[in-house]
Amino acid sequence: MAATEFVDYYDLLGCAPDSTLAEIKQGYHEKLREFHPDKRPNSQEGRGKKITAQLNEAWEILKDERRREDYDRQWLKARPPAFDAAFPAMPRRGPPTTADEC
Amino acid sequence: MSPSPEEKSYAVGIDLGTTYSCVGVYKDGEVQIIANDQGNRTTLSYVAWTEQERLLGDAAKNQVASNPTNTVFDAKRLIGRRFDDPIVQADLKLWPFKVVSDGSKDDKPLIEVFYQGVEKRFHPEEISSMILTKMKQTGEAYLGHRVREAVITVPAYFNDAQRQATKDAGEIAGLRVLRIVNEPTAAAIAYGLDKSDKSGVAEKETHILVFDMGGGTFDVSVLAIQDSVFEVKATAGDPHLGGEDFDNRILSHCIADFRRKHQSDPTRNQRALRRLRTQCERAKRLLSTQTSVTIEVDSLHEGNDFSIRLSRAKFEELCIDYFKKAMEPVEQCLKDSNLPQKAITDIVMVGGSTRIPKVQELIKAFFNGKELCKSINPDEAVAYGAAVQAAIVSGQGSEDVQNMLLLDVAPLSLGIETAGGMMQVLIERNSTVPTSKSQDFTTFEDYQDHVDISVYEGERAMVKDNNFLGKFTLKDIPKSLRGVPKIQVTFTIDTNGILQVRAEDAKSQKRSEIQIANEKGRLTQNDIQKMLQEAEKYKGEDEISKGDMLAKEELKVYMQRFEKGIQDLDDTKLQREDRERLEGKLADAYKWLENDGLKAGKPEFDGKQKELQAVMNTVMLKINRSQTEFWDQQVVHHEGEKTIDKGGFILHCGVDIRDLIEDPQ
Repeated sequence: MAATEFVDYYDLLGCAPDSTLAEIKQGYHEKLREFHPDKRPNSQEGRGKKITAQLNEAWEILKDERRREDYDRQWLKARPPAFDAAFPAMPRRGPPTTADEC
Repeated sequence: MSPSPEEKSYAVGIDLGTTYSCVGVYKDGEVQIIANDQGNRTTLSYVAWTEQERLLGDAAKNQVASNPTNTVFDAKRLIGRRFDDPIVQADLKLWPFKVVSDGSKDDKPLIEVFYQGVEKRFHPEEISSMILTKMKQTGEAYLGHRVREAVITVPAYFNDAQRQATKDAGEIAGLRVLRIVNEPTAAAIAYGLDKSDKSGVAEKETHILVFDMGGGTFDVSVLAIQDSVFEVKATAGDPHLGGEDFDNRILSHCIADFRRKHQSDPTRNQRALRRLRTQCERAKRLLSTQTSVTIEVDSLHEGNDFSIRLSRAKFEELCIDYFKKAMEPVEQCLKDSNLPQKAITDIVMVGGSTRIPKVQELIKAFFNGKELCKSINPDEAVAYGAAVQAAIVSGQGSEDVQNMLLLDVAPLSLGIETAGGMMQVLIERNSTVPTSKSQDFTTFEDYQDHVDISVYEGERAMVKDNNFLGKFTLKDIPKSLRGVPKIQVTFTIDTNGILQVRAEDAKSQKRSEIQIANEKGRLTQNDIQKMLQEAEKYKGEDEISKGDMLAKEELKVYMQRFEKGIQDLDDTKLQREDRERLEGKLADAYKWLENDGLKAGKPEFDGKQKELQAVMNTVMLKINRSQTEFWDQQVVHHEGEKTIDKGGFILHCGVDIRDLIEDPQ
């Protein structure tokens, strides 16, 4: 549906797919403090605005459990192959439910 | 931070209200709400034109009864709207000043006044800019520095056009608008700072609901506060509900009563209406603290006095539908934020109308008797928050202020029209801004070479039920079968809540950006430039009407002193030729005052005074070297006088030679 290409939200927020909601939120706030146009008074709004829009999008999806699950499926498909080798058995967040792997 | 004190400039926060405006600045580690020249911390959002001059703020309201048709208020209710908007048409009937359409296809409303015998027309943006100018001057008078930047607040539920128009108003007032901030969000900052002062910064997430009911608009916002991040979860409201609506209800009630008692109708008598309205507003205020009031106006209409007793219960009965209507956005906002009622830790009341006991009672009942937070000043909280935001954005302020972050939302869903008149939403309401969303669209017919893209805002499924924002055309799409071209439409909302739309054909890379500006009655950059010049001119005129009189008076006083000075000097000191010269100069000055002085301005008056001073100084220097104060002697103007005698002028600049000489002792 969305026309934009895939963005790794975990990477963007400086978190991992097994990060808890609180960790993701903290990451979101930290990145916002860095990139939000309010915090970059001297830069032309362009870059900060673009990144902040992505951060907002990321948080919008990851804060919602159901949407995060949908996103995780996409993420598993799109993640770089090298990642597989580095983390052969990726732990999932929360109680170990392996049912939703792929 | 600033390189030199001259260049030091502050960014202020301005709450541009329907009935009152307020300005604050973050200075020396705290927010100062600035009092105007009348000593009031809020300024009436009024502009008036009299025979002689333009009046702003409190001065404009003070003369409203005698000059109702040239006294303009409520510009915020017109801003960003079309003339044929039903809301504008309804308001029109209640305003004593005249509003007309500009006659263009945009159907912009214009406010018509008489000034110095000429009919003048103003856009609502211009009226708002004049009020902003007043607030700017208030700030400058307090700070002793130029104010060039500001954060201006708008109701959270203001739409795109209204935000744009408010931003334009700021530009016309010569302000760089750093941010347009939502009023309830600004109030939440005031609340948050107040709380963190008392109990330390809350690490745990708290949720608050801001209930902001002012003179003309009504907003509700739910916010989450954690680690100094203020995140708006949802917002709802009514951009046209507030204290003035209640005044109007009382007014109608009084008019009906007057008609019954006196068999005459005062509705065409603007002066009578204005006087009665003032009393109605007063009654409404009093009813917040007492249970009944008497509304009295002597000789209201055709010599008849008017008097009526109004109880609080009757007032509530008159306005109850409005009060109940205000609960709908509260419910909506809670629902949109996905929070249960009990998750709300505080209900923050902002805006003058939240003083009404019935309003408080209803919201308290809605939250099962929860106590309301009234610790922040309902009239100043918005300007307070705006001042903090101004400090954040301009990089001023203490560490806790710098650490704060505001995340606001778009109040309305935004989308485009697709086949069948359906609304395809790209940005959902309550999306955190800034945000950018793209979606692909395609052609509807074979070999279609252009697409029309119509942009709407609103929550209804059909575009016809939503608010049209603008339309643009993407041309020269490479011809192909229907469904083949890929057109990417991108909506971007910036931190001011202002929308930009872009469409791009993937194949041809043809781009088109929406010019909502021209479609939705928004001012073009040219319009703004013109108004800016006009405003500059007005600023001049204001200065004239203020500075002229003063300069003229000063000159007259100086001339009297001059005359007395000549008389006091006896002939042993003053040589005859010098006396004649002085007397000649004085006579000239009197003659000048009688003729040219009538149309002269401050520079001419000042110049004339300087001229006299110069002659006097040379003479004094010559005859009274020993008696004259040493330092006074050093201000030698005789060089200047020679220039004047040759028809030149004295320039204001120059070196005061006292600065070059060391102290005589």
